[in-house]
Amino acid sequence: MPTEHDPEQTEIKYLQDTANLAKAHVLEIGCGEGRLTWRYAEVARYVVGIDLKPKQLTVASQECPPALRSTVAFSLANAETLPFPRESFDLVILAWSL
Amino acid sequence: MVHALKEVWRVLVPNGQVIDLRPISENAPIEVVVGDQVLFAGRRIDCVEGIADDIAANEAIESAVGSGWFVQEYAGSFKYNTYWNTLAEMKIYAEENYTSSYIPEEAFIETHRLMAENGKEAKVRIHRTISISQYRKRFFNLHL
Repeated sequence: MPTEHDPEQTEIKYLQDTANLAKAHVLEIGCGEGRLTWRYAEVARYVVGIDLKPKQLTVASQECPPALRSTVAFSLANAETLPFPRESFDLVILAWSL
Repeated sequence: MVHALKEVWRVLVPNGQVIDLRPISENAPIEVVVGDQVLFAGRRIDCVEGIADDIAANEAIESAVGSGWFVQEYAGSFKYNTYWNTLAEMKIYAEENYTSSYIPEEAFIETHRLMAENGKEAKVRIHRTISISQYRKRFFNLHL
């Protein structure tokens, strides 16, 4: 593997300790290629990952594990004009994006 | 950034949570790792633009909290490592991904020296600090 991010899994440990992920409707802003998404998505009810980079979103969609395809979606969207109704999510993760 | 936080407030349910994960601008150390041994090779340098982005993000959060949109419930940090097996892999990654920071030539030279000295077991990593903050949407907001 040319680049290995956080093999110690520190980020997901802190995220799990801090956020109420279980059965949550989650919006991840700045999901990129889904690096973080895959690490928590199975405990959430539904995850929408958004990013401004179409290439990264394509990779994320292609690499989505089959078991998560019905509960994870990716979308090209800008955080300043979120294309979602009010009160749609229990949790918003700003993933290195603010 | 404040507009984005306003949108986050809008799409959150009452009492919903926001998690803000962000690398801290700190000229992160570049280290060669051989088994349990960690050898310092230099630092990745953050450019002015990156530091300015960090300040702007902090100001946006302060503004959102100050306006009563969110209440901060937790703030902490942790270490986050990114590893490469070779210097060439790190160089490629840096060229493709580091837009607001750079690795100085002397750090590449020292990394090369340490990796050559320590054989195939040696890996190179960048050792960053990530801040994690948790906020809660306030039930009522008179400013929106």
